[in-house]
Parts: sequence; structure tokens; C-alpha cells
Amino acid sequence: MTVTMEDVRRALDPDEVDYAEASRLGPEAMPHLMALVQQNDPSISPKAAYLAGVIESGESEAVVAAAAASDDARVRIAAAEAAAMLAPAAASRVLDALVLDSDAGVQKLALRSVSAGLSPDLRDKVREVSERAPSEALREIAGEALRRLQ
Amino acid sequence: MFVRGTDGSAWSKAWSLVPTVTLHLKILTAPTSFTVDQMVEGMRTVYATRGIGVAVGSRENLDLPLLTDLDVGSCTMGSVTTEQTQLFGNRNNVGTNQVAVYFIRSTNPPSNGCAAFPAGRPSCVVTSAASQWTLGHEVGHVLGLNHVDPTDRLMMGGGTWNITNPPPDLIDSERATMDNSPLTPSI
Ligand SMILES: [Zn+2]
Repeated sequence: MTVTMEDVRRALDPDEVDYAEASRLGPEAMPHLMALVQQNDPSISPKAAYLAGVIESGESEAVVAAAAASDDARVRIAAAEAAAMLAPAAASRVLDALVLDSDAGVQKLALRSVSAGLSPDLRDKVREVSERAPSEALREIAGEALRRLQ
Repeated sequence: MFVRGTDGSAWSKAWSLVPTVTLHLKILTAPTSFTVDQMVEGMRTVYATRGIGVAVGSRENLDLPLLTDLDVGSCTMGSVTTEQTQLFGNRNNVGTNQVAVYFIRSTNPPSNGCAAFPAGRPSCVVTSAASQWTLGHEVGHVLGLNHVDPTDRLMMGGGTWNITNPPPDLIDSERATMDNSPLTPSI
């Protein structure tokens, strides 16, 4: 079965998306998800970036990384969430910039996606946030992330 | 029912006895595709076609930068995350059987909104990238409505950005469900 853009939109357009159901589209959805991320449209790009993380594919990292480079914080947030579902090396690369993002929401989600097995470089950055973030709540979230890394 | 003469208050009293949902608007991040007022107006238009009133009980801005990108988990009715519980605790002015609507930046995972709320605290969230009809759709869920297939209906499951022939419709059976909800007292 060939997955079309129409199939992907049907899965992602609902007001409340069922990602478990949407993931059944499988890796053939990836080119469409990349196209939707590149639209940089807050109503669809975050959903596409997240689904790229849910679906296991060799192309997942590229789609999530494209979202991580968006100038719209909502798209970067979805990339930060999706990173939790990538393999550790890919997750480390995606989260590297996001844990120090200028937007507190992006930082929060990036720190939540930090788990054991990520790169030492990332650990240094998480430690930096846990010590220097202006928000106490964010420092706490970073502290929890740091404990998961150790 | 008194509808006589030039007494404006008699008219208004007679005609205001309609089932009405009262919303309390809590704004963490303003929506970017439509304003909150446009969303309320859209909802009011649709609900009015079936004789359901929409009142705004209060409106306030909430400065909660770490809750505006909200973990909603699987967004299942009756089950909520720690963050939803935290957010829905902000209930200034919200009376019993009234609905708190939180305008947030985004949900995790990404959706346009979510109507899952804990027992006794009727609430929903609407994200900044929502359509004009998402507010009415989410409150529809709060009042007990489920998804339907036709694309010209408010509760269509294919996404309210794709609504055809706007304003979208509510049908009589949906009206009955909304009327039966304790959240629509006649006022
Ligand atoms: Zn819905």
C-alpha cells in the first residue's frame, strides 16, 4: 500500500490526534512528514515532527532535526518531544541545541526527553541548565534530567 | 412567560431562559490564527442554532510559562496528567457546573486541543494553532458530545480546520445531549 499525503493529513488533521493509530502509516509516511515539517506551519508541522518520532524509520532523525531548526518554538517543542523516541545517538544530536534553547518551553520539553545513554556533551549542557537557568522550576527539571543521565 | 409591552427587562427575562454554558477564559498564550473573541463568537454562533447559550463568566491572563506547553498524555476522558491537574487548579471565579477554558501554546503530544478533565473540574485546553471552531468543539466534548463523520458538523472527527460549509452544524440529538448536561443550566 502506498501512503499518500492525503492519508497522512487524514491522520494528523483531527483536533485530537491519535498517534498510536497514525503510526500505522509506517515508514512510507516519512517523505510526507518531512514536507509538512518544512511548511513550518504551526497547525500541522508540530504534529508531523512528533509522528516522525513515533514511527521507527531511518529517516526519523532527519525529519525531527528539521523541526528542531524551525524558527517557530511550537515546531521545536514537537522536535524536543519526538527526540525521546529516537535512538540515543540521534536523540543526543537533536537535543544538543534544544536544551539550551532561548525558549523555556522548548527547554522544558528537551530536558524531559533526556534519558540514560545520551552523550557526555549533552550531560554538560544539562548540568549548566540545572545550575544557571533563571527559572527555579526549569533548574529542577534539569536536575531531574541530570539524575536520569547518571 | 411575560413578553408584553415595552418593558425591555420582561422581554429579556422571558427570552434568556435558555440552557447556557458559562465559560471562564484563562489565557496563558494568545492564539495566533484567530483571536479568543473570534473563537467565542464562532462557538456562540454554532450553539445558538440549537438554542444553547454561551456566556463568558470571566477572563484572565495566567503567567505560567512552564504549563503553556502542556503534557496531555493520551488525552482520554476522565484521565489527566500531573500538568493538567496543576493547570486546572487555577479556577478563579469558576463556579460549580461552569467550564474553565485554558488557552495554551501547545500540547504534548501536539493536538489542537484536549477536553480531558478530572471529575468535578470541567475544563478543556485550546492551543495557539487551533481553528476558529476548536473552542466550540472541545467544549462540545466537555458537554458529552462524541466525534461524527460528516465534515459540515462541529464535532467532525477529521479536524475542525477541514470543516466544510461553515458555520458547522449541531444536530437535534447533540442538542439533547448538551441540554442534559449539568453544565448547561437554564439561566
Ligand atoms: Zn474532538
